[in-house]
Amino acid sequence: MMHFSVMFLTISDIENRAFQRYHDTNQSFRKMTSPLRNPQNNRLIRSLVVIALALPGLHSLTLDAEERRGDVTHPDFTDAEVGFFTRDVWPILEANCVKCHGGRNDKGQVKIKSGFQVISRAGIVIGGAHGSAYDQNSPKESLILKMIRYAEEDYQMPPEGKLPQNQIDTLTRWVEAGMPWDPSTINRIEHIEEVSSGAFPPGEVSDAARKWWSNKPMEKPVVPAVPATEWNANPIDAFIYSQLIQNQLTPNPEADKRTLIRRAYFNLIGLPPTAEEIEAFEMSTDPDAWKNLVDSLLSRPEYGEKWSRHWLDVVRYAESNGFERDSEKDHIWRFRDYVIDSFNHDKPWDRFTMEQIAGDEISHPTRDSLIATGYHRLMQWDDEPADRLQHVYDVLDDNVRTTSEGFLAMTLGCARCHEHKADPILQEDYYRFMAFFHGITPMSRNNVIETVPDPSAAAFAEEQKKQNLAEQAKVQARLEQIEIQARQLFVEKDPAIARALNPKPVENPILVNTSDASPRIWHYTTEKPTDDWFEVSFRHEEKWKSGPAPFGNGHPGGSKHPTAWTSEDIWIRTSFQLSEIPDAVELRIFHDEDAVVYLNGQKIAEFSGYTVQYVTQLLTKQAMQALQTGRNTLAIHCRQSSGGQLIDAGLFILNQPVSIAQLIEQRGTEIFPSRRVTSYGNDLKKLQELKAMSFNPGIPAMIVQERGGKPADLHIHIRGSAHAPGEKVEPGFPHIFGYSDPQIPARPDSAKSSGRRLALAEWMTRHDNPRTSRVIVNRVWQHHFGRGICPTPSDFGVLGMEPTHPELLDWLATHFVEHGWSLKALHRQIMLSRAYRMSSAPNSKALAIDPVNNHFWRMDMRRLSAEEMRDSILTVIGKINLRKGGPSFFPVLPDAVLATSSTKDGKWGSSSEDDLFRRSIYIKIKRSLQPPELIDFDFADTDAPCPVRFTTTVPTQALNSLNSQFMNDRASDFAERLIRETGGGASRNLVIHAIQVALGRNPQEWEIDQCLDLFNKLKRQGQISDRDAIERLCLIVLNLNEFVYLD
Amino acid sequence: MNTRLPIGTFCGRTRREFLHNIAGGFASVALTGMLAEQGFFHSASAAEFANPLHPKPSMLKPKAKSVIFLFMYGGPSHMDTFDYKPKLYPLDGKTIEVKTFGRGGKKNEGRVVGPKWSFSPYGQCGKMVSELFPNLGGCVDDMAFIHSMTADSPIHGSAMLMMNSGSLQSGKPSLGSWVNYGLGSLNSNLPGYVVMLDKTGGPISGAKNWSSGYMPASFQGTVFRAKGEPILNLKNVNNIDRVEQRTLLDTLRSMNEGHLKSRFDNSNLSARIASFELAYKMQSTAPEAIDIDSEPDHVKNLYGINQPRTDDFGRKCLLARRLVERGVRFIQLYSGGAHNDDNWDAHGDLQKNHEYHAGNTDLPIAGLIKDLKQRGLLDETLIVWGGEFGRQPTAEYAQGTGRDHNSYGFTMWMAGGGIKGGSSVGETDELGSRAVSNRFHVKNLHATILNQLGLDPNYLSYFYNGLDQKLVGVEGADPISQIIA
Repeated sequence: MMHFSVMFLTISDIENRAFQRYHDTNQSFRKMTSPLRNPQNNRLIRSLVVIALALPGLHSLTLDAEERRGDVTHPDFTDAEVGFFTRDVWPILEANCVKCHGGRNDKGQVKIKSGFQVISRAGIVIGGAHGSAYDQNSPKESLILKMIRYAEEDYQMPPEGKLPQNQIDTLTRWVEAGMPWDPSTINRIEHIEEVSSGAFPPGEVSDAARKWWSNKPMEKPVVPAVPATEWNANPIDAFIYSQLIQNQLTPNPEADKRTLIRRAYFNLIGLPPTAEEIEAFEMSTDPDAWKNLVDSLLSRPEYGEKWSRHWLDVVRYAESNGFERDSEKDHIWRFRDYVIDSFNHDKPWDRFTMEQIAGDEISHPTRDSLIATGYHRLMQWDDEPADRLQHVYDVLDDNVRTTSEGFLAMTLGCARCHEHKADPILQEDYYRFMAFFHGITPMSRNNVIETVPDPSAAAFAEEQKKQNLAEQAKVQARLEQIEIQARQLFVEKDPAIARALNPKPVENPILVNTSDASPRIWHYTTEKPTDDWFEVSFRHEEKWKSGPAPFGNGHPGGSKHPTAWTSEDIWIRTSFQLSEIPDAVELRIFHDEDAVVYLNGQKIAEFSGYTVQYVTQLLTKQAMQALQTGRNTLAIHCRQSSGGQLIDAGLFILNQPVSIAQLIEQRGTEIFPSRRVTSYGNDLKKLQELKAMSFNPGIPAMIVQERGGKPADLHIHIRGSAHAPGEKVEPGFPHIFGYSDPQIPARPDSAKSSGRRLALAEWMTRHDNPRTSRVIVNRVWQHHFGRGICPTPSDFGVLGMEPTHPELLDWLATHFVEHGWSLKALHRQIMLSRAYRMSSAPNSKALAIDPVNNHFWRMDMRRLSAEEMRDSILTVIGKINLRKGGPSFFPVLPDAVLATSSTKDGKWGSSSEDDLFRRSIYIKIKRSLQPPELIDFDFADTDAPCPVRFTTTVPTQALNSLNSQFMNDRASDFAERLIRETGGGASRNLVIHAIQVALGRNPQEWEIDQCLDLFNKLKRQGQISDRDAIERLCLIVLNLNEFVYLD
Repeated sequence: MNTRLPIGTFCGRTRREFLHNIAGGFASVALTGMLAEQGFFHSASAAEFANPLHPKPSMLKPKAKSVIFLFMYGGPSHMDTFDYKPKLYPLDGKTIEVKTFGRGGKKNEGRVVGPKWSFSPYGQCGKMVSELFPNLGGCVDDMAFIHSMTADSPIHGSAMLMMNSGSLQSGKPSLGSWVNYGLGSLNSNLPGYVVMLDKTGGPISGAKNWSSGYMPASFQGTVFRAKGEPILNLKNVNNIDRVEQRTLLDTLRSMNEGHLKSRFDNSNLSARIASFELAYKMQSTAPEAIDIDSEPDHVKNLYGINQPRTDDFGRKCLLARRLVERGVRFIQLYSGGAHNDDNWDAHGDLQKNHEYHAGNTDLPIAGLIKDLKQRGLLDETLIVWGGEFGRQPTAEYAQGTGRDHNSYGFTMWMAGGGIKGGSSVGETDELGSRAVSNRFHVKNLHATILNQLGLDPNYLSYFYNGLDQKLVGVEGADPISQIIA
């Protein structure tokens, strides 16, 4: 295995390589059909390289600033000018700028922030991340001056605070004079040279980089023939064995059958076998027993529950958004079920990849493929970020990292701000990759849920529809009964209402028109008028301004040319003529928060809250009495407090019969007790809701959405800042792999999405993609053997580790693709190998040669994962609930854990007793609140992809597993089972049964003695009941190393 | 050409070694090493490994051994506490032009809320302190004020994460994790990183604030309670007593040792056996550590224990001192929890809010400083005080005294641990609206804390995701030299 080492090159090495690099770079630029060919872009890329090298702790090789120093020519300066610089200017620069821009600290280390050096005139002219700091043509506009003037928020230097005015003046004078400098230091440039041994220069595409093991195209290696026949049958064994003998190692013998069946059960379904299953396997003489066992486990639905979790770790699956509200990701559990089902159905990995990346863009999207795109919604998301634009890209960045690391084992995220510091990844590669996702609508509180068609829901939908119609009829009947009664009572009470219910036709019903029909000019003011502003006699309105309604800044349904109103209050007036008092009049209004309406000086209506459409209200008897023949005045005061202003109103003679429903709602209390009016209103609303329900066979799911066919332009973000756009980029694959840019057919604005993700997914699932198959094959190996063939499964780059068996990895990957990307076939291939069946026993000779088992001379022992531990416990106590799928359940959390939340009881839910015994895969995953059963035992972090879980051993785990409510309750459940099944007390029989059930083997005599001894001691020490003593024993058994560690 | 530490080198561990640990199971050998020291194990395999929680030699000469971070959650108003703004008083009620950015967005003008408390000079240094803190006023000669703090977000969720982990997003290790990663723990019977929450609840994002992020969970903060059971699951829910527990552990151990015989090379198994012994010890040391009642009355009085307003926070401060004495590296105390006026987030009634929270904490914090000092512990204990941001000089609403959030400028202070007492650095403008001179970022604060502990902030790194990650970020940050003694 190749050791990674760090080395420092000598100056001459650097020069040679710099030359070589420069040469290579130009070559590769010429080959690429990208904007990089443009010399201007070339310069951009190079300046970004400078940034990379300026960051401390890097190992990048470049001499760009050095090279470019030669491009800078300086004017000749007079002695007086140099004197001015030395005496007045340099001390200011030295005190305020140099520390971060080219200076050295007391340890002699140089710091070049933003790639910008202020130690020479050349440094300033060359500039840094934001370009040259000196504008030769108009020095006044130089960036260096803009920075020190503190004119813009994002451009302020020095960061500690603005310089005193006299110093700013001095520097301004100096820049305007052409930046005179002392000739002895005028060209000084610092450069950091730090080089990793990597086989190639980082941050660029070179031939050497193309030869790196994971960048190379895959070729199916020849399977070696080994001198042990039984190790020749399965190519996996041949590869492993040949490497073992090369290292003077011999493989461990096959493990015993009990070990094997436990290994297979936990490995494939995450649950222990029962004692009976173990016995049957041990007794079997069928030569195919092992193969049959593997097949039967692969066909169990629990397989998907176990293996889905490995993928959920990688895609950092969680069911809430994190941050202040940590709100729900509604319906996201469907994604979890989708992953489980995909594993169970052995969905080919290329299809699985395709569906997650672009399940909405494939030719025939299905329910599953749409749910799969929930993948793009799994990340943490701040609904209230300090910098909205930047956060949109932080979220995209999160998805770019997860996709590139998860599917491609490529740390593309490292190139967000600069070229990659070790791998051949350009900053441009990062943004070209991001461009595939750029059309996705940003996450939001409510617009990411869609109804996904689900044919299997058809019968259900039909049934729902029937029930709905029946319910509608019931409500309708109740409403009619009240309406008949109301009609009678109203007519008896007010003859005008009789007319309103049956008005005579009017030729022109408009008294004051609303602006959705035609424009109307009102008088208005936003300054508080005198108190009599609504009176008929008020005449100052002539001094107010006038303009067309509506007033405000929106036009929902109204005229598109409103009169601007942005302050808190507005007062508006208009008038109309009336020759005859009509029978009934309606007010129609669209208002912001609070509105008061006056007719001829009388208040006729008052509204609170805002409306989202026009509402109408029949004028009351009193309001009708305010009408007069001749001139009538309508006056309205409206206020708002939080933006979104809008006010518009009109008056209409009732021309259509007013609905009895409207009458009951508005004036029902005149004839009915208010309770009755309320229940009538509720029924009315209910009827509307029932009618609005749709019964398309579909289910709600959180999925990906795009805005249209043409995503907005994406630019490189200089130093990763969304506020500093650089060159525009188009979607493209990382240059290192040498694929031509995707041809994505243009789609119209009206298209649902851009098709970009489809292009990416097609590339990712190409048979010759050098990463996709290698990466998943390696992950599968990892979860069978405890570590990947490449031990860093999400990083196949220089900073990861190289594979211990590169040929085996490539053989598996190519074989995998040839066999239809089938995971189950891969599991079989691996598990039927002798290598997989080796024992984990130590061997002194092998330990001396290969203590960490780099060559796979044995199977490594492993601790159960948090989920496996909990699921095993639930299994052996006989209470596990194997119900599949659906929303997650909430395990009971200790009060002390709930108290860590900022909200009362952490908004944690509760679940039925039955649900509490479901498998761990169904536990609610809330980012800010996690059950100790999971996090105490190294559950995957929810905020970043987790390729390999830690296995820590700390005392808090022991405290949990000995003292917690959960463990003691389960010990009690276990005791109950044992007592039930052995029919007795703290007996020898019970001890034997306990060991058999928990460990799947017969106890040895010394173990029985230990346990019986425990019973005796406990009873001697205190007045402990048999039942309690058994519970204690159960607690011990569930804590045994043998229970939580697999051989 | 500059020389640098080789990439990935930290405290003798190489990146490759570390990667192997991740890949092959980050072991537990930690514990074996720890217990080997205590005579539990003498296995050769255990000795081969370095223990990540084992005390490590520091990179620089350390001035402090422990940190007590007094987190004033919600964001105290600097101009009402320690940042004296005489010109702000007469502007009360006037609408002025001032750029602000808070929960209510960016604004260009606002109605000034004059500071609600008067300031007086204290100590030899004559530092002006608000009448909110009469007791802390007496300690100013031990305190150093940074009046020019800035942060990247004026919104609680992300600002909390920034103050605790240097990043606006979660998933990064918190300050306490870095300290324990860098220095190890001085007491294996107690957690090295302790968090004490307010009685009203945790801060926004809960455990994310003391998470170990991408580091192993061994470095995450442990929530400690000053009353009752200090650590979750410290006591058995069935009240199994110590004698009985010993019996149980003896059985467990001998069964596990039987299992170990044929697997002698697996140090994870021995580590797990050891972890039960360590837990057993913790069960006695942790309650002893929180046994505040054993302290003499004059000490309790110093912290305001047994006075209704100050009892709660006083107990936590006293407990913090006891934990420092027992070698706990990093202790974080929250003043304020949950939402709104349960913490310093004074959007409505500034007076009521700040009088409440200051009144609850002034005496206890002053007591803590005095007590540490009289024991000679202040020199090696770094106290940090502050919130995730400060507040605006102007009102948030049309009515009332409430101030919105302000990350453009705010005040934090430190004491002890090699900090220059009686000093102040940086300033905000006359309104207190933003820092204008000697501005410091949260990263500088973090750099200062690490520096005082003997860790070089620009070299303390952890290899993750293809990068040598640092608390202060890739560009690095310098400690605030002006307040370092």
